[in-house]
Amino acid sequence: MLNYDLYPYKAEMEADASTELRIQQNTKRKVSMMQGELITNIREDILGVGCRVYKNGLYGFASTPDLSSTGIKGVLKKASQNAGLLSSKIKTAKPAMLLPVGNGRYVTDYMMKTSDQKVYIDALRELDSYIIKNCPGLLNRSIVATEDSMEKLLAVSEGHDSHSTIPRSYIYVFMTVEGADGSPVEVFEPIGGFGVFEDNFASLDEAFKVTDELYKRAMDKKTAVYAKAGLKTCILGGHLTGMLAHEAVGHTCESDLVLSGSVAGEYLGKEVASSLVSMTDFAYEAYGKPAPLPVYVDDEGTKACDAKLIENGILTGYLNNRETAEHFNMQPCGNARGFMFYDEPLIRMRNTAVLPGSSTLEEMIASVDDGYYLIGTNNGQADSTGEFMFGVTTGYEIKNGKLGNAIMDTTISGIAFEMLKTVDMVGKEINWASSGFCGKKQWMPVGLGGPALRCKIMMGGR
Amino acid sequence: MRDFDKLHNIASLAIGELLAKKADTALVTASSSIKNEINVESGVFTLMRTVEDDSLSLSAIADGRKGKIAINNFDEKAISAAAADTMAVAQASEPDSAWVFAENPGEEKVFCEGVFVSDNEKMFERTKELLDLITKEHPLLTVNMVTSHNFTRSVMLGSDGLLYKNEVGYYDFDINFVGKEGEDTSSFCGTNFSVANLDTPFIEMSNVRQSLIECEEQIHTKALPESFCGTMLLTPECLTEFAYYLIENYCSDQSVMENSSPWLTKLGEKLADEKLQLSLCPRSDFAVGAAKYDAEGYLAENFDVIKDGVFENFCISDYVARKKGMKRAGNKSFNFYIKPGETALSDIISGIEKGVLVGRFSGGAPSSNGDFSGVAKNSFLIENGKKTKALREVMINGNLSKIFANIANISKETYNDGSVLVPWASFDGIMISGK
Repeated sequence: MLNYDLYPYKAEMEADASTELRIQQNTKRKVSMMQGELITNIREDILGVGCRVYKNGLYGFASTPDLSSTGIKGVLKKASQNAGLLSSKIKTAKPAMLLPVGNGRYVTDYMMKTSDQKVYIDALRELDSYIIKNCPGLLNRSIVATEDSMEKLLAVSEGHDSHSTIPRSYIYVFMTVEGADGSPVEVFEPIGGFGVFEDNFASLDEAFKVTDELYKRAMDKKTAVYAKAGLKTCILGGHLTGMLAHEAVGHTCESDLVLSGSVAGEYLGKEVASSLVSMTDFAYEAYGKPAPLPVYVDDEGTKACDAKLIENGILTGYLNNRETAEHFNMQPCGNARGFMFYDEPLIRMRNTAVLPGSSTLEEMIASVDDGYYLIGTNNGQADSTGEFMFGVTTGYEIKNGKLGNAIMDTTISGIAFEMLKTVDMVGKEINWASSGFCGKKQWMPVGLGGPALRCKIMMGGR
Repeated sequence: MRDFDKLHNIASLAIGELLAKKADTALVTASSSIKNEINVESGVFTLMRTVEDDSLSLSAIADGRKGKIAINNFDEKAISAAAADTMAVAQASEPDSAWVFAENPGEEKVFCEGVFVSDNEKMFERTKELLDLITKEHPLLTVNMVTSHNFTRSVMLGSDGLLYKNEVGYYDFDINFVGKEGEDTSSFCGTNFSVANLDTPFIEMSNVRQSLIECEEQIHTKALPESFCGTMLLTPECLTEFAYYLIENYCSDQSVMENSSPWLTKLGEKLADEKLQLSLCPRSDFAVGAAKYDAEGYLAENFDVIKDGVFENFCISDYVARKKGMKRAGNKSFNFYIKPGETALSDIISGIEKGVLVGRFSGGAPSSNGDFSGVAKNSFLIENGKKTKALREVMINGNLSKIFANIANISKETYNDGSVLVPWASFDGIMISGK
């Protein structure tokens, strides 16, 4: 665990400025195996201190890997100088200091651990042996073990100081089979979540179970058909719903994007979805359980709380930092975070989800005469217009209320605030995912989730 | 910022530690970097940022087992601990004779490129100059900009005496904007470029001017009430994206190792349209700040992936090349050069009966067989030789190898952003789906 004392430096923070001083360590472990060959075997530890000063409506930031007193005092000074340099050239009518958020201190109770590289390699060897034994007929198998973490020590001039940890670890399983036309088709699934590798993978039973399910999907995909292009009735699986919540709504509701012109700026207080749809960016807990990647205090010193975005179809809020919260007269909920020690806090999502409803998945599939059940995704993108796109890697036809052929990889898209109005069934159970990175000038690990949704959506295909 | 001698000493210390801990061969890179950056958000200056960092990458091979560690601490104790970790990582892995570092070329190599000291005043002036112009001439656009100067000094040292010294400094500019009028909003638009100096106003760089104009045209879009088979005209940025996908699917380390590349046995065959020359050229003048060597110590050389339609080279690393008994690629960059054609862009457009001009592709990664499907962003309908309405919610579908095997036209005009030099290109027979 990080063991530096930042609190004495609070005395050096300027009285007429808002200052954040953050020591941060990011770690990364990655081992990958392809056809049983170990092809990646790396470890990375990056540690440093960054400081941001807000003064007279402008920000200055500086960072260094030098954690000596000289280094820390140096970034305090340089950040202030940078803010001063800008304000010597620019006059702004913005408030002189950031919105007050109340003082306090949060300290994590999660103790970070370090595993030897052998732990990851041995786990992959065991899983690889399982795949060889139980998954015949594959053209290719690849498995990847990853662990990444962010540990932060934060001291602020006004707000909540904190010591926080967000470790997460995964095993990704990729399987390739020969498709009906002789071309390779691929399926994959990540397994894991919050926690270090030794915690999540003390036993590989869950990994074996997911591997079996993935193998079935791979076999189904051998006879996959092309989806038909056009507007279709679809049941989105929970992970896709989560991607929708993140890409199609979450990004457009980030206040900096609202100020840059995103469509959400026109819709506050208005209907953007059917009344069955509600959406929240959870801070650290959802429905009595820990959220996938919990945030208790953000990098501006704001104590985190849930941010409601859509309530019964009405757009009710944005995601803010302290500055935009004041601008929009909203409460900041702890959405400002930086990825590395040298990154300034940006408005980021945390654990964004559509809230569950009352339908079962079986009921939802049975209700579709001609459509698709879409389950897996490999990426998604958002746009200022509210148009979204997801790659779909696993899906099935639905014919007369029953699952049919698997479909080839395709893409779905739509305008979020139009598509969400077509939602007429919402599933009971919420599925979470947290393995990817969100990209927005910096990377950031995020959680996303949701129940199944029945809706109309544009399919790419033939 | 450490000088070459200090970085050399740090690298030497690390090599010594690795050899003392029983590495057979070792390769270390020690770097120091500094970035100065100015940010504009929603049309106003917001942030000035100065970032300093160090980087120490240690790779070692012992009994054919390879380990690699990266830290950002030059403290002697940290170096010793990192060396021990590197050896532990190596010992945990399996012997593989394909892990090899580049041999010492026999002489020290020194690379120096660009401007090493940031001119923050000039950076601010150029950024403000463009912001003022946009405010005046494009009032419907809201702009975000990041202008930065990046300087890195590094030393790569091998246990056999390989020694490379590299200093590179350049400016990066990234701009994105959204147009808004009434209730209508454009898609995200933007561009970026890298330059060695700030002599030229930003409006004249790359396609900044054209991007601003097209973004305004994209505010009021129309849905396409039909699906048809037509011509897809890709802008250079979009063509770069498709070229990247082509390489990833057919020529990359992963596609070769997995045996999923449909081109595995087709080296030397004509697989693309004879108009196509696709090369990777980090050692060309258009590539600002490009890598001069890779992480294994191989010096970068330009090479052709496809020339006159013939598949000339895979884009594979030394490791994959040794595993498969194939030839290593000359570099690992994505500094694309696509040879321009002889037809003016205006003539290409006037020759299209029905199609779309695609500014940006938003889609999932193409599947292993090259099928792609995605949204045509920042796009315009082309009808009877004219660019007409701005479109929304239009999807394009096709297959990578098929479209590159049948290129309708390549423009003589090119686009250079300091990373790539590519033209416009059109492709017939593309499925274009409206709502």
